[in-house]
Amino acid sequence: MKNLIKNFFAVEEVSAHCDGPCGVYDPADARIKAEAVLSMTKKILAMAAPDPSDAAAVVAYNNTMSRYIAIKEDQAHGTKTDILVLWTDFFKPQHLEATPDLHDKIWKATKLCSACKTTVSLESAEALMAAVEDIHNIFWAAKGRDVAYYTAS
Amino acid sequence: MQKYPENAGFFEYVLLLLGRRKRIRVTGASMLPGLKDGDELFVDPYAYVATHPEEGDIVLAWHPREADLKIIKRVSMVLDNGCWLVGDNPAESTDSSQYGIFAFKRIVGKVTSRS
Repeated sequence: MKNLIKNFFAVEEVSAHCDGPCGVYDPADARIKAEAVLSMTKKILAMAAPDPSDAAAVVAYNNTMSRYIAIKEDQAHGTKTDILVLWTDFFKPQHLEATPDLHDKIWKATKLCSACKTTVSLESAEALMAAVEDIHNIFWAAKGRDVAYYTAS
Repeated sequence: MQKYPENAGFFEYVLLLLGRRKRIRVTGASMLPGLKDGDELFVDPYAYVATHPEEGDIVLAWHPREADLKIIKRVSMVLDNGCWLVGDNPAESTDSSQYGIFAFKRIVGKVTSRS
């Protein structure tokens, strides 16, 4: 009876959306930055120190090394920010039911960002990529979508 | 503790028949956890003809920038010239934190129950 009455009247849709960029999240942001961290780490480790008596080579070496380090630090911090934004803004309490150790995973992933930032560690950079892939899988599972993980490099 | 609308009693349906209630359907996530995307509600379009909203009311308001778009938010504060409206889920809500005060004339109804 109630439905009969109700359905006689039109229903109007009202918005409980936000119209900013919120609601648009993608772990790809973190993945691209983490890839840059891994790339810079590899480049730093592959740098061969020049002959100290070759002043021009020393300057070039220091310049290139400084740039690699600056990018690595910047991108490691960016990866951390992107992961934290997913954690604070996208993930909701109900997602913890599917992934009870989400907080721990996020904490460890962001700790890896710090390790990649402050040290030159291929092991940490590769572990960060694995953590980002893990977050990718958790994120898209939470959205109920099957999105394959890939890397640009 | 936030209050959420209760299921409509028979009287609400009588009011619907009398034109004193409107049906609405929520889209979006800004009113989680209480109101989900797809929830249907009854609204009293005359609730604020003679009085102002009260804190805690869930209201319909005209969007300040988009024509013909009504939004559903909760009254956080009642001020001299209007209301401060917020979503229950601030992570996914655009509300007074971006738009400021909603003038009373832009608030067009009060949610009374779930239909």
